[in-house]
Amino acid sequence: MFKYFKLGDYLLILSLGLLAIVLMILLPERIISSGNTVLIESRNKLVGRYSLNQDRIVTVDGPLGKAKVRIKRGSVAIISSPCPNQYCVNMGESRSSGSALVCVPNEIIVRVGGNESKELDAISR
Amino acid sequence: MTVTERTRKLSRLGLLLALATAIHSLEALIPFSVGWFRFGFANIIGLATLYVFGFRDAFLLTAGRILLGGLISGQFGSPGFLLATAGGLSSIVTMECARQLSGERLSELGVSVIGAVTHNLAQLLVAYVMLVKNDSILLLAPVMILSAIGAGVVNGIAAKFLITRMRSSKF
Repeated sequence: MFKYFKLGDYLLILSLGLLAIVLMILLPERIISSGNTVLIESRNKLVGRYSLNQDRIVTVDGPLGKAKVRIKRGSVAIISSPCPNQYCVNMGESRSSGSALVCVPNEIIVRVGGNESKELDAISR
Repeated sequence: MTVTERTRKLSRLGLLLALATAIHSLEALIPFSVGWFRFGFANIIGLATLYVFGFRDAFLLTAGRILLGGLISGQFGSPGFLLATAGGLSSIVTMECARQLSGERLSELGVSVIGAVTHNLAQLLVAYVMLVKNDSILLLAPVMILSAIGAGVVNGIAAKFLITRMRSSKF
């Protein structure tokens, strides 16, 4: 079977493969911009807007009690929460624009905002 | 070209169009967990037609296949149909360019890979410009290129066998 195909074919496949790998490394940094603001919502109301670049710990009131949100070195995390499952704490850190940390029982949403057009908001099939 | 030759060509192209449409429609039934990945087996017929009958027939066959396939699968006029048209037509045009420009340097395999990559990237571009309008889907580009290489290699090998058979058969 190999005798049918030419050196050019293999070079083409190899270079396209390399191109894909290079794009895979380069694209995410250019497209997923890290955000610059943190928006905190509690009970569906915006309760705070902070810069992602200033380290601080914010205490947020929810229906269940107080949750602590930590902004540190350009990323944000919920570090303590009175909710039973602790999913929001286990979501870890978030830094890219459009991402969010959500605590459903305590009705707290922490969003990372930035360039509006780059937020993920579409489904394609 | 004698009447017999013309009749033979017409019937062969008719069979190829039917085959391409059938493959196109059947492939739409394969349930993949990754929705955007397709082998594009119908392109085997497009590529073989390009080599055996030339660009004009291959272009018409691809356009007819997408139209008929769209009508059969009920996708006609949907975003999926738009993507199929963009991908299919740009792919056949690029494959002809690659075939002419590369001379003896590329075989059917390389041309098939170029066609598959063009197909996927054209779809991604149309999806980006007209449907999704979100930079994030450009992140799919490397994945699209890699899956296109795989599909292109498979289709190229299949097309090579089909072309050899078509050239030697007397039907």
